[in-house]
Amino acid sequence: MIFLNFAKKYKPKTLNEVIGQQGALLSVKGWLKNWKKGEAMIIWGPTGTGKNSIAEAIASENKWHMVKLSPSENRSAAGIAKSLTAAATQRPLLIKNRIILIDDIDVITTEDRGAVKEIVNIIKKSIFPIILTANNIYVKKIEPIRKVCRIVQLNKIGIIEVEKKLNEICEMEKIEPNKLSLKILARSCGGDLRSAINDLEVAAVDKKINLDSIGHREREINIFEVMKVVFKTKKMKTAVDVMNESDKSYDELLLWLEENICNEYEDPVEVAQAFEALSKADMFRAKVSKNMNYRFIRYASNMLSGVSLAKKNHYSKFTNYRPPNVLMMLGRTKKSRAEMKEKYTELGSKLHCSRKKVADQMPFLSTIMDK
Amino acid sequence: MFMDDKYSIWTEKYRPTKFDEIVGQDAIVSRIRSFVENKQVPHLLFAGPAGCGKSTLSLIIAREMFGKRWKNCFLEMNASDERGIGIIRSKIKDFARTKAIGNIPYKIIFLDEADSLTPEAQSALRRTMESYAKICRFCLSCNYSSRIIEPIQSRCAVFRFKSISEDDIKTRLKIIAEGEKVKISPKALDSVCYLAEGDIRKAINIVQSSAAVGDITDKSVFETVASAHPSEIRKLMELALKGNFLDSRKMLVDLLYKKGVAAEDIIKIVSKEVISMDITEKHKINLMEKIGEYEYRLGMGSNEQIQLEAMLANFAVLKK
Repeated sequence: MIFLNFAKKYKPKTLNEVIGQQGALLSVKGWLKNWKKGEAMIIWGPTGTGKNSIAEAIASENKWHMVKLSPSENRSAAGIAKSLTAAATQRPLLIKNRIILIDDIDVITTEDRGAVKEIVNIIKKSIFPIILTANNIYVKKIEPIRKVCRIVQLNKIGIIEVEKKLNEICEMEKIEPNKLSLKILARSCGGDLRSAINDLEVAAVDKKINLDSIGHREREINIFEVMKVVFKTKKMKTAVDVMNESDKSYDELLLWLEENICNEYEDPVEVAQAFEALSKADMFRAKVSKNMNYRFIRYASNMLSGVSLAKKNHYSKFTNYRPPNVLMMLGRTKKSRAEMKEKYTELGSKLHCSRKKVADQMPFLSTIMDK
Repeated sequence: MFMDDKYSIWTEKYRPTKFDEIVGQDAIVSRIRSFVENKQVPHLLFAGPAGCGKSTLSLIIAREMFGKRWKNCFLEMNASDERGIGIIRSKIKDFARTKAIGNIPYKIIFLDEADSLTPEAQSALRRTMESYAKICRFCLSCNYSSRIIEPIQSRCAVFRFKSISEDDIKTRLKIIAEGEKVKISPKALDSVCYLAEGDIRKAINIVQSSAAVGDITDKSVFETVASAHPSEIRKLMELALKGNFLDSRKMLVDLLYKKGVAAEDIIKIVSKEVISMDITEKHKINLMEKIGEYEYRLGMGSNEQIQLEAMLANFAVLKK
């Protein structure tokens, strides 16, 4: 018996077979229908939600030829040009149409020099539709690609839909369906359909589902998901757990929370309490980094959950969580701050003052110098 | 904004260059003068409030000691701009260890705002002071001598400067007004002294900015100071107190990252502004307690923005 076979076997053959992504499918179909030269699409979302499946379903549904470039291949600028330029710009005689898939574009290493530029280049001149996939499109280095693409986001697949799919597979494979086991599998996969199918395959070796052998996958949780859980839950443990599983560092989490408090909470008292929790978490954090006193790391991370507990009632609204503005702002204002520093230093040396003193006097000095 | 000629700024144009021109520090000046006349200067520590003549006196010492070539034998540095230990190990040491040329066997290093040096840097400085004592003298200035570590204090002759009296400030301002041919009314002089709080640099700055619009009157002095007031920070507070946290947060981020204002300075101004705000006295003291709390956290924490935002969010819900 060959394992890890089901996932391949039950890959969707048409777009309509892709489950749990109704909204995204609509935009994919719209894009395909009105496709014009130079228009690529990025599909992004967590693992096992159907990024590749969508691309492959398009190819198999229309009987198109597919060209794939994954991170396992040479993805330097030259490598990309070599494997894709011809494929993207020349139409072979016997081929009706072609789709190009560039996998995991957020995995671009330092060795892949110039890759981003080359991909943008190919997107612009390609006469075939290009689909790119990524786990996270907010990686700074792929920003140029993001700008020239249509963006489609996939969500985690709902438990009920995963369960339904598993049921179908059981039927086809003549596995004795056990409602409870399927439910557990669907629940523990965290919206990752591929892993649920793989787990089912391993658990049902002898056509009966046996869950004892299945190990728990530690997965990193997308930051937007983390924000959603932290802001919607009222339980401390849920909030702490989800933040521990996030792929973001503590300091980044702090910034993300800071940015989104006002985004979620509407009552000033809640806002104040949430910031109070952050403020205290930050003090514990500083205790750790300044004095190397690691005992306090526990309080630092637990205090962050105070953001969850600040709300009086649950907000059932949809919130569009944003990445922290501060980092972008610091980048944008770097030059002007450097110029100001230089100006103050120069003035300071003439006036025998520190930069700080110059800044203090600036209101007067600017009136004087304007004259 | 560009300044070709530093003498367009009156604080520089009228900075005293002789001992006799210094006002308000007679006892200190006479002691220092006798040091200089004997060509024997110890390490010096000048402590005193802003704008009372510490830097000026050290510049005069250099001029009187070394004559025309004073700039070669005198290093002026500001510890608040470069406060780490690196500066002591590199720049100061490099200057200190080369021997002075001329008939005075040592050089002088003037380290302004020495109280902003970290304690580690101060300990490093203490070694440098000892090792190069024969060929280099230090003159440190600070606002509070308590922030200078004791080993350094004990190696220096300590001079405590007083803030300059109103009469002395007036004398100096009259000389400047005469030199610049601007008229200044006696009442305006009173107002300038009141606003300057003993800081002669501030007094001269007020006078020069008021002179930009014509004769200096009581009214023009107050108008100038009001327009130079840190109104942005006041607006920031008013927004928060009105319950508009979102806009005050936006202003804060601008101040911190676009204008590069230090968080410490913002909170310092906030605490000063509270007293003169149009709110009940009870509310003022409540706010003051909060501000103190967050200034403390600012020192304890690592993310300044979050601490200040927590303060503003708290302002927004504090009961009047």
